[in-house]
Amino acid sequence: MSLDISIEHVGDTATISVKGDVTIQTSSVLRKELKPLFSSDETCIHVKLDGVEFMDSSGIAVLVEGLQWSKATGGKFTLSGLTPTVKDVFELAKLDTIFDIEG
Amino acid sequence: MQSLAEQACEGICLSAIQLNRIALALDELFANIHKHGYAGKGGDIDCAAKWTGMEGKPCLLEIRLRDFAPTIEDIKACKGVDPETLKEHPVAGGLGMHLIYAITESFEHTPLEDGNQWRLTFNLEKEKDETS
Repeated sequence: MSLDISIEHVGDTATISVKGDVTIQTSSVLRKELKPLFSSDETCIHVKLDGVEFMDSSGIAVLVEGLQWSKATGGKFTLSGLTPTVKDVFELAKLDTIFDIEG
Repeated sequence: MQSLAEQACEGICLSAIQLNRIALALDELFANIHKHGYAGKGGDIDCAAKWTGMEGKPCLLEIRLRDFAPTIEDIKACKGVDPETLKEHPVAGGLGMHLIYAITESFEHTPLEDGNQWRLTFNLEKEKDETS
């Protein structure tokens, strides 16, 4: 099982697109890609999740690190493209009130 | 874990969302047993699933897991993270337990002499209303 990740840099925004299941086996790949963005000059980090059908707590924990970065630096950390299954879990666990979710 | 959930629900017509919830709760519990119970070294977990019907229609799924890891006396301390506090104090720990409690109708732990028993129930009728 693999995760397909691409990053686009436009102005002060980094957009990271994720495809595949984000699980305990693959979340380290997402963390590895996100972490350098936390120490870059970019002030907005946008995570597109329209290619993610399954995400467990290890994947959500990586996204929480984005919240930590946002709180520490004042940067903007947003999510978009939540598929119905991922959106359902976010709503059920009230995580939709924690993250800035677009669309 | 997705295939285990599919196996438990074989022949039952469930939505992708319902199947995802079951798979996720199992995934989180297995991960916790592996990480905390067996300290990442691996061990046996017995699993059994049972459907309870209402008016001939299966609506309550009960899944029992039994591990042979050191006994946990009280899991009340492992309630999981509170999303209300997450915004001000974003911490990555405790999310798995939070998801299990959020997804299941009930989640029970019984300490055994030589391990732990876990009982999860899913009310599929209720979830059907929520997901329709």
